[in-house]
Amino acid sequence: MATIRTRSLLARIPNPRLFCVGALIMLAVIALIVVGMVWMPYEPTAMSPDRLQGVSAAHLLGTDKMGRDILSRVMYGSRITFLVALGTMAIGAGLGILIGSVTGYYGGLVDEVVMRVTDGLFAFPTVLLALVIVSLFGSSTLNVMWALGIAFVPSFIRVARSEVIRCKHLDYVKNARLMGVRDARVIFVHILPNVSGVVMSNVMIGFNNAVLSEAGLSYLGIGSQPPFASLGQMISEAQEIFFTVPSAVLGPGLVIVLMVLGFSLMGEGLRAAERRMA
Amino acid sequence: MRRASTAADEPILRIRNLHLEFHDHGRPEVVVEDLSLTLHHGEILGIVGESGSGKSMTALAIAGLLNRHALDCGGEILFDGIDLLHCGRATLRRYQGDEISMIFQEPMTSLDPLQRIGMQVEEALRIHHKVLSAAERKEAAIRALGAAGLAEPEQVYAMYPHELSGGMRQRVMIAAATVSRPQILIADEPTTALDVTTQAQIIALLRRINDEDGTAIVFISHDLSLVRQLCHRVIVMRRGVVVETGSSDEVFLNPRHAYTQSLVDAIPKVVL
Repeated sequence: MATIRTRSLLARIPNPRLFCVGALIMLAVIALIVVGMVWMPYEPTAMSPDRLQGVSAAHLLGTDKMGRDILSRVMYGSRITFLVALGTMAIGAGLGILIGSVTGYYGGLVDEVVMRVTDGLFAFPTVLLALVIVSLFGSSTLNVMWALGIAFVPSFIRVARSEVIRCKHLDYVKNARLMGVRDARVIFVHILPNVSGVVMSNVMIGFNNAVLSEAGLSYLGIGSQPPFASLGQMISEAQEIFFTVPSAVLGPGLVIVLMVLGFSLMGEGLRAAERRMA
Repeated sequence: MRRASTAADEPILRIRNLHLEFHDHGRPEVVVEDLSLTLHHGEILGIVGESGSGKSMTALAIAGLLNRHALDCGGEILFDGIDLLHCGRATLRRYQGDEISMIFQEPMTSLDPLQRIGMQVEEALRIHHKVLSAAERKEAAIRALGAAGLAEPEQVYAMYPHELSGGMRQRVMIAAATVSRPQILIADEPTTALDVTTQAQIIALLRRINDEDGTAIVFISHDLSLVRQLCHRVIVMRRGVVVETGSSDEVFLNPRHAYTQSLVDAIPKVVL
């Protein structure tokens, strides 16, 4: 039963090659993170006299100007960045889909008000909005997650709302209402599964933006605070030693690129699905 | 579920002076004007008329599917002593799918493409008869699928809509609509999207549901020959107004109104 299910799921992805390449890249990144949780070559915050070393057997990616092992810091930083991106999506997509589908389903005045507020939030660049929230509540990894999450809510409200509106007049939704099904069940059982394709590919794109925004924010010095590393912050710290220890920038940069690329490819593989269905 | 005995002459549904008016396009638009009708237990009532005559709006009003924001409605639709037109959503939901069910014109889009047939047929039971166990629900659903004329209902139960033909989907719709043995079944042009032989089978199925379960059926169609075959009583509508009403024989053999006459004349003679 399970194998049939998986096979039919994969068969429903029209561009499985693209999706699989993306998934493989993501698996590599996740492997790096998981290994980092169990074992790291050095303590990521431990300083040593071996400063600014290049690539060597002892330090695969060299050391930074405080003698910390860059590979260890990349492993740790990827974990932070990944978790922040996940949390951001959970908050942004969760709230956005909930609000969007409910207001889209009921319409009327509340919908109008929510949409205007959303338009207002859209007027701010995402990072700027997150910056405001972080500077109000203080800079910490958790706050960055919330800030980015809230900044991402409007785009998900829009997507979920428009999809629900498209779907709510379809015959089978009418039919469900006719059966005396309660509204919550109509929305979550009869409508949302049918719009999940569009919403999911938006979540994937959103994840990318979350990775990049987190990296951007920590590059600006907001977010997880030194000595704990996140990828953007490592790049920011390493820019002055770029020519001495190039791997200090390239290491974390590569992981960011891989994360974004992996998710983009997966999302693209799913997106082609909609086009074919349409 | 059905009440044990309903006095044969007491109508189960009574519509008095139904008036429906849209307001969403600037100037008001009357779609149903002063419509009154009664539906008796075990009766098949046909509503005929051209497109835009208000027959589907009447059906949606009975089913409680009208969007109440954009609409001005007057009169009353009495079922079980309750005015379905003005009662609250919660009250309405008690009857929807349980006592009053509806099937639509388009079987291809009336089923959720992502849910198995069984799940969808069971929905009314899941909502209205929460005491039933999953096994009892499944049994009832398979029985309903079988009664709707689907061979191998167990297989159909586990299928997805895309695996079924239009005629089979309409049978599934009928199974889903009758699984809780409603008192009233509203069929809004249920055969329009089907080919002629399937049409005949669906009509026979509706007649059998009416015969065996005593379900009253409101059959809406613009196909007069089907209405003639199936319905006991007929209402002819035009531009939101009832122009003629009477037994099927009266209306078709002896049309009194000129419009009805022209409709009857429009039936190809080979069919009659």
